[in-house]
Amino acid sequence: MKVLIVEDSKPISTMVGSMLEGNGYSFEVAENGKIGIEMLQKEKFDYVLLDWNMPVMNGEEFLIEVGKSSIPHGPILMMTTESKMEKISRAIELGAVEYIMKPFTVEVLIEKIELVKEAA
Amino acid sequence: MSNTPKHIYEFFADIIHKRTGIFYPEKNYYQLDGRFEKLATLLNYKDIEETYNAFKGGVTEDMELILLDVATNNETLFFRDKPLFDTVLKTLIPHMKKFTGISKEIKIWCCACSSGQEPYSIVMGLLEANWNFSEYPIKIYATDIDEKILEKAENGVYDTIEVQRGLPIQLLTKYFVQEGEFWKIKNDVKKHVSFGKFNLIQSSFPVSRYDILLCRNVLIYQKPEDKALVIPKLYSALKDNGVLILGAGESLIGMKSEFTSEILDKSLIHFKSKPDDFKKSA
Repeated sequence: MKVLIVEDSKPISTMVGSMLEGNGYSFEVAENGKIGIEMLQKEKFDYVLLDWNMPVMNGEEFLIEVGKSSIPHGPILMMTTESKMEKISRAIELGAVEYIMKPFTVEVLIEKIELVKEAA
Repeated sequence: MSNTPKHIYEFFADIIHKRTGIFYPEKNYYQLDGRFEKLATLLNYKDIEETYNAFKGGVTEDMELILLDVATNNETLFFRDKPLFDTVLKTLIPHMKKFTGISKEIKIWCCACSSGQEPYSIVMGLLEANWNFSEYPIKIYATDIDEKILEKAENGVYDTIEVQRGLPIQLLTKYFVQEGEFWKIKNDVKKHVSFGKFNLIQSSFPVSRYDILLCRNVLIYQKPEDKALVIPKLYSALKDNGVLILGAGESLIGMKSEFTSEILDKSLIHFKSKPDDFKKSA
């Protein structure tokens, strides 16, 4: 299973990547939404972990862009410090299937991916 | 990292990996330190080295279950063991309607509810299934031995990590209200659960009161003589058509009991009456 981490913070993407690898997932990192979309166009990913606040193209813009295009993509899980109810509702409305609030543990990350897998 | 020798980390990480799929690479061995401490305490050993020696001498089913419980640190998960919740919500509870008599009331007892995730998960599952509570009332009695944890359960307030354990985001937004950094379960859920202190070893058990009794991941921590004492009491607390549910991986094998254990859907259920009678009345 391959995961695309769309995240501008290198320490966070490194930590999340390590959590994923430790649980049998492979991953690649895009530093913002725009690069993320380019990567989706080139390669198939099973899941997308998406930060909200990023330069160039943020998570909300990424969801809008992906929603109106025919870019193939796996289920999108938000992974963000934004934890207000209205932000969560907005992300779900735009097509995110899960929402991981930072800070989180490795258990939370893997369980959330598993929840999405089970619901598929 | 602690002074624990590497071969002990490797030994336990290997068992955990083979049995749960959870992999602890060497760089994450430090995450096992706290779990080792808990494991030693629960099994009554001085430290992890003594625990390791006991495991090397032979692993009983209970020792392994306790290790896995501690290793997965799942005790506070919502919808812990999803297939079991599916059986309870989609098969057992709807089926129990046949046995409720005039009162039409279904009584469920979560006898070691910890911080409340188990009873609240049942209610959320029922609400999601549009259960008609006015026609078929369901009363959930949730108990625990620990007053502090019970208070937390009753308050129904969880931190960001806790509400992310096992709970789909749609249910979080639907059944919780945000209070700063915390999330509080809504009264629509809470009103179906009542809480109380109960000691499985010392308290007096009710008789023929419950349709469904959940006693998950509790008996594995009891001494054999205490288990032998508790199981008949659990049996008596159930109505004739009642069922007992233990934790995933727990069983009554090797225990003297009047229950008949059978797989229903994908879950092991312990029936007070014969499972065939139970199913026939469907």
